[in-house]
Amino acid sequence: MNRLRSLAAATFGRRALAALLFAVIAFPLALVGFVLVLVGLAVGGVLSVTTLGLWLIAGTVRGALALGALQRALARGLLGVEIEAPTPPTGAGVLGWRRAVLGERTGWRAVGCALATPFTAVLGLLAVVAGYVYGVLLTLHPLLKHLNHRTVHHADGSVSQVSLEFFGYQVDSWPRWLIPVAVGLLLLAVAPVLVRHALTPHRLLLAALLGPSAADRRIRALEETRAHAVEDAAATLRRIERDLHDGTQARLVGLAMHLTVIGELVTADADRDRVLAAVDTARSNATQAIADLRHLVKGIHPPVLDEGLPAALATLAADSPLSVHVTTDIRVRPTPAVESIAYFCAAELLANATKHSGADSATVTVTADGGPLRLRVADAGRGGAVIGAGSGLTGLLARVRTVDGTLVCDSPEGGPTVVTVELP
Amino acid sequence: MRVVIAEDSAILRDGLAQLLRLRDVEVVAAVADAEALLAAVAEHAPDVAVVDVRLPPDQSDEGVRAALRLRQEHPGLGVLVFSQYVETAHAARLLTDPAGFGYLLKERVVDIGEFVGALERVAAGGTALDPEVVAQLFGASRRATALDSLTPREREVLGRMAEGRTNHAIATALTISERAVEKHVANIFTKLDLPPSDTGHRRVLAVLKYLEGTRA
Repeated sequence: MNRLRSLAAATFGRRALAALLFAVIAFPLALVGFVLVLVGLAVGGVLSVTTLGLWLIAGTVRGALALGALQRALARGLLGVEIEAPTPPTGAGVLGWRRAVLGERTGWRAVGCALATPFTAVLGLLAVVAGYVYGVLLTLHPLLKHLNHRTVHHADGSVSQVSLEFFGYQVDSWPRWLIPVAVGLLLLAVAPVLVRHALTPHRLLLAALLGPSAADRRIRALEETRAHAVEDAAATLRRIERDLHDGTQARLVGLAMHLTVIGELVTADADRDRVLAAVDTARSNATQAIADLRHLVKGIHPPVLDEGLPAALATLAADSPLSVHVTTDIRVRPTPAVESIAYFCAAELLANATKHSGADSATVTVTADGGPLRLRVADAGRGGAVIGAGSGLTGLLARVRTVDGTLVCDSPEGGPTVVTVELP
Repeated sequence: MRVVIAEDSAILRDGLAQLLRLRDVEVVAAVADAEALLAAVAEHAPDVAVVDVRLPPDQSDEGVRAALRLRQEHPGLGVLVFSQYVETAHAARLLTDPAGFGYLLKERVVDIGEFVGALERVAAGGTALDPEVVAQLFGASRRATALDSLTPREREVLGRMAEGRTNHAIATALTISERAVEKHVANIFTKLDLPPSDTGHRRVLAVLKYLEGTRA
């Protein structure tokens, strides 16, 4: 009974019904689009000796774009398939608009999509008919038999009503009716899978022709990473300014103040202990200012990085509270930018491991042989690290992407955590 | 002289308080943020408030805003804004009325005699602008037409006036006679078209005029 219920839930569940609805809508929609686009292009083509033809073609392309937007929305709403919208053609004035619509690939890809979709959408509709329509009809056959049957007169004079017949085998009574019922239930059981698979070509077609093209995608990625690089640089400068203002500069002003205090005390012939106390404070301010500066410089560009990544990572490992094992195999020295990003990734990942993993050791592996630099930081801690949700990994990923690098985090609950960064 | 200090860095707050006490200035309260400053001023009614530009929570210009409020709510109070950097915009915002106002870089504390002198001037309703602030304002005032008619020497004198110096102090600083300074000041008043009235007030007006030029 429970099985039946779960079967019914899968077949008539929200997701399955949404896919069913999509399959039912997609074909007529595609068909209407197909006819309109075809007619629009044909008439526009015939009239293209006049400007009216061009306007008609531009209108058709615009219509195909609108149809594409509708199909994208349906795919998102009913299938849960997210297809990014391409950059719409824009131009100044009506003539600019026409030129943009006729000249840009986005519009013609939408036209291609409108002409191709009926052939992919029909598969979904067929799957619905085969799975759901036949499934329901066959399952309910014992109830529906009166609606569609023929009367057979037998040689012995008896009469029977035959509603289904396979190769001479008449399904006309219990328990033979169990056969159509079983077949119907089977069809209903596989119907959601059937519909989903039948819609795959359609989905792929929409994604290929209605989404942004590879070049668009690249431009978008570049815009994003560039914006991030600029923000990152500004934030870094701001942080350095804050550190200098609140740290080093304040310490130096403090130092100068205490030197003045010392001068005042000496002039006033104050007792020795008071003078010495002021000297102590001044000295600790000076020491602290030096420490602040060292820390700050390290955050901008660790001097040891000039000696190469192996030396820098060894220093990083020595500074870490974890016991860190570093292996480097660098045959071709990467560019300073890549070295710097790799270093800060390693530093951040080790800091994360220290803070969150609960592990007491970690390994850092770097390989670079002229191809991309691979950095791997692993710990045997409690795992569960994810990119996003305000984790430091998001910032790292953004930084890595500015040089077209990748960051993969493999961290199942319970560990171990392995983060791999590749920098081209 | 009774002083309230608002400075978020404990090192500087304590250092400044210690220094001022050594010079027999009474530090009645030393606080770390703007709200505490407003409360302390209301409670102790000091002669001067020394206010850091950057205060918690945002470390941007809370000090300037607090100083503006103080000047509104306590007209007799001298306010000395105290900063690690010079921001002409902040100075201009506060200088709409330069009487009893000062803007100094923190490192001026090192010359404690000068610093206490500036505090006293501000407490007495005078002005104390950091030479750095004055230099920036002069730099920014290139466009101002009224100031263009001043000779380089008169500009120098006006700059010192803006810092809040007396004629005597200006004469010593520029190594000229006090008579010469008086002549320059008179010329400045004429060129800036300031009618003869109460001279002390005219000095303030000259500074104001000069600042208007910088904001033009």
